[in-house]
Amino acid sequence: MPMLLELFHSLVFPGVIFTAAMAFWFEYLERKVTAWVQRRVGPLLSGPRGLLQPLYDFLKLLGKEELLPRTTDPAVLAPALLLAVTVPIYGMLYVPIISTTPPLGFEGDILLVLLLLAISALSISLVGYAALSPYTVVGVGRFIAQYTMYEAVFMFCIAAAAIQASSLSMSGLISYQQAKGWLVLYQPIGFVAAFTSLLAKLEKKPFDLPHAKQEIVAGWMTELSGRSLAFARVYEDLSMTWGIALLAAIYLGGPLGPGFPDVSPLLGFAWFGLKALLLSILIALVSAALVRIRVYGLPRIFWRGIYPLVLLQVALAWLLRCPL
Amino acid sequence: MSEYVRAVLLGVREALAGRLTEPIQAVTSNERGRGVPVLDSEKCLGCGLCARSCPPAAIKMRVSGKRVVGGREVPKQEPFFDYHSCIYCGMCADVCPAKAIRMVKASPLDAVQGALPQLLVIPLPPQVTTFLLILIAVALVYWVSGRLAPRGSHSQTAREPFSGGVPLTAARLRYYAADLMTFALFLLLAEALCLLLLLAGGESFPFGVLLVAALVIFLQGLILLRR
Repeated sequence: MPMLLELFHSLVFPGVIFTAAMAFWFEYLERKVTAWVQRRVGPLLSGPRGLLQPLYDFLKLLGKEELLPRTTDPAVLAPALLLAVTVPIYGMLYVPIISTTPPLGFEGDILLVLLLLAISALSISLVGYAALSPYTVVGVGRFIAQYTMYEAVFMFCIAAAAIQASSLSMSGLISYQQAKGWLVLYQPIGFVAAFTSLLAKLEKKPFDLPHAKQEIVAGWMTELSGRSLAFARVYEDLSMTWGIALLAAIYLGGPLGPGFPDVSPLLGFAWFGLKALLLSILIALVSAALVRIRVYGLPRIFWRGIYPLVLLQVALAWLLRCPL
Repeated sequence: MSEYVRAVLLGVREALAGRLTEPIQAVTSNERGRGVPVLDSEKCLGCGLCARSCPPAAIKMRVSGKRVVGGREVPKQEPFFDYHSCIYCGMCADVCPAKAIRMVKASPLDAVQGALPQLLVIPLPPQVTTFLLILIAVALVYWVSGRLAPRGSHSQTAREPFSGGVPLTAARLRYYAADLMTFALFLLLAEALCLLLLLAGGESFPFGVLLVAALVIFLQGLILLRR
């Protein structure tokens, strides 16, 4: 029976099928909101109100011929792509969605989440370097620079949350918020900083330097085609799903809400979905409304602007910390 | 020259002459096989004679419990057989003063097969199995779509990179990014500090020290930016 449960967790909920469905839903939302901001209609024809457009795009790319340039290192490309897609799906298993404890949670799983964030960035850099051309090299260079900027901020934000809750596990964070209220009420600076670094992690508009369209074609995914391009694109959506879920669980209390543990776990799922929906709409609005910063603006924003604020937040969190 | 020919002919004759290898059943059915050493730990004194007399040194003495000698508790040792190195000579059973090692009539293959599943069925934690399951599912989608996708025939130009070419230095620069290393160094420092902060979150003294260190790193970064 435990094997069946693992199969269910990894392949159905909250594993491959659920995460992929959420990823396509968030991509649809993002495209729709972006279109509305630009006064277009967005995806409209496939499925009800164009809901199936992201899925169709994915399937179409899967069915096309993969044409790799002669400079490609196929022994690196395929494993890196598979790892890049696997890590966000696996990370979803450490986010509490319908209960206060995630399916695979253990004491110290926050450290594992930090490790998974780093592995995800590593696999993307490998994808870029595997298909060699000037555009991918510049794209990966920008990606690594951006990673070093946002990752420290994101880590310190998670650390501040963990320090205030005096716990190294997701379930500890949730039970702290159950007792004391959402963490975003105590750490608004941390939430804003984590949101900004999430934008940079997902390469959304103000920070889309690694695949800046007008400058370096498509950055690290310039040379990809067919199934590789499909996987690279679905990686972005999965990564967005995972990042939004992390933010919703750490700062907004995950499944917590009126009547969650008492009435039904499905209500917790509904609360989680609502929070994730609001976060994704916020991300789409911000990225649709803003323009790309210059490369030099990146350290100015992160290192000079956000990093000292985050350090302040860590100190504040340490003062606010109160063991249950 | 004739020696070579003779040697080759000898080889051919030997090859046609039949096999000297005993069939695997004969080892257990007749009296020629000595069997497999099996320990009776009730009788074992823990003297270690078997380990010292073992020709391929396939016996390791390991602490398995306590025993009382002269009113004091001392650790008790027991031989552990590595059936992959064992030559099944029976020396250990011969030297054992307590007759704790018996040679059981079984084929060495049985012993090795008994040892194999212990290596393979290491219970993996669910964190690992789920990761592997997801990876397999994703790889399956990748592989199947690769098989289903059409394959056309292309000229060499189609395989050129999107930029139309690659500078000669590109292959050398592939996994090399000198200026980025400064940022990577700062990131590593920040990450190590972050982990230490998480681990030392409870105490007040290390926390203060670590926070000061984080501030120093930040100021260093500012100086770097100014340059």
